[in-house]
Amino acid sequence: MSSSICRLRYRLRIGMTTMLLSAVCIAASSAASFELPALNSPASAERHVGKVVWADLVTPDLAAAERFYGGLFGWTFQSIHTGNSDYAVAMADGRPVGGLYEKSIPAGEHRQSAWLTFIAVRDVDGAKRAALAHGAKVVSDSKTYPSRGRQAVFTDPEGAVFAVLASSSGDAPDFLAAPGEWIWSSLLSRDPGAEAAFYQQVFSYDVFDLASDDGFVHVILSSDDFARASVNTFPAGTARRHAHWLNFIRVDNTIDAVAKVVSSGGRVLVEPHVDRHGGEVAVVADPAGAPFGLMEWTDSDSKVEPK
Amino acid sequence: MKVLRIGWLAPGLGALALTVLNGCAVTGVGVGGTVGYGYDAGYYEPWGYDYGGWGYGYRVGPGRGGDRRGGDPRGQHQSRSYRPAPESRPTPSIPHGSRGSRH
Repeated sequence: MSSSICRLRYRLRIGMTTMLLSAVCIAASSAASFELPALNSPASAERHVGKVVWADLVTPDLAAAERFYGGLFGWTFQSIHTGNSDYAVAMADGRPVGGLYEKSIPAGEHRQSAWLTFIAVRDVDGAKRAALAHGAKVVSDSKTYPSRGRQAVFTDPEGAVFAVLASSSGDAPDFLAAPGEWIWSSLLSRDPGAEAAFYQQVFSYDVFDLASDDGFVHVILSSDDFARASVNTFPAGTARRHAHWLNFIRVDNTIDAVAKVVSSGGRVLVEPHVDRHGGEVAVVADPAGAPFGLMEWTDSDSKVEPK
Repeated sequence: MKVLRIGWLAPGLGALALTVLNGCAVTGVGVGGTVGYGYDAGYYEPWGYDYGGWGYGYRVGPGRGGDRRGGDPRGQHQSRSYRPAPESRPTPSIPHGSRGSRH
């Protein structure tokens, strides 16, 4: 009798141990398989320092964000979960275009959901030294993610948040963004001259000051002889002047896209209007309040890049 | 019984070691903080944006290339501490051409 109880206990222990080991192995393998996707496939040695190559949304409700952006742009999503991170890679026509990251907002805090702009560099730590030397602060220190590369997050001298990324798969070739992809980025700031100087120091941009009809300063940041972003004075009458980056997604029709934003639970921040290139742009917010731009661009109207 | 205790101890220690290793992998601990599997780039901005005032002429987008230069900010209490591109260089536009085509 005593011998059979002993055998039973032994079997129970072996069984429990096996279950425990299996659970641990599953957890370990799921952690090990957590990888942000490569930016460029197939990988290349091509580099475009200063190009906006990625954007990450931080949102309190990942599922709601997926419904909104999926419905609006036809994006599909690949979920990545590990530890306390819920992240989804947004795909446009099978290509990764951005990430959606769920992060809860502590009770009682009023925080702004936003898209984080990633700018290409060759050397994250070199960019960090240059940024800190010219007034930046570290938000998230340099870190390497398998497949994606090395990245870090900073605030610029006016407090606008941006990230730098040295992609381990190189940077994608320059081409006109397809509808549903990021086409343009703008920095809104108090002092565009000082901000342009900062970004020039970090990314070696060529800076083009533009004639404006509104009396405000607008400059273009350029690398590889392509316009990469604009830096702009806050418009008149802006009450909350918090410097920030604003990224635009290409759409076929801005007015139609704005209507879809509204019917999907988003809202309009700037009504559609004609911008410098002759097409309509608008600024909208997703249901969590994250702002982003919509921009039409007719390929046939693009001029050949002057050299 | 001693044999049974040893039989229990070995897999138990193995499970403990795997648990510790798994914890390190998830948090990035033990690799100098330079490689991590969790994601920490999520950053909420201070609350509230104001997009009022985007009136006529307020343009933030790119041009089609060769846009008129100008906008010297010195008369507008703004600094111009950057090095402007030479006036002889036309303002560039965004990349053109469809995916896969090179220019």
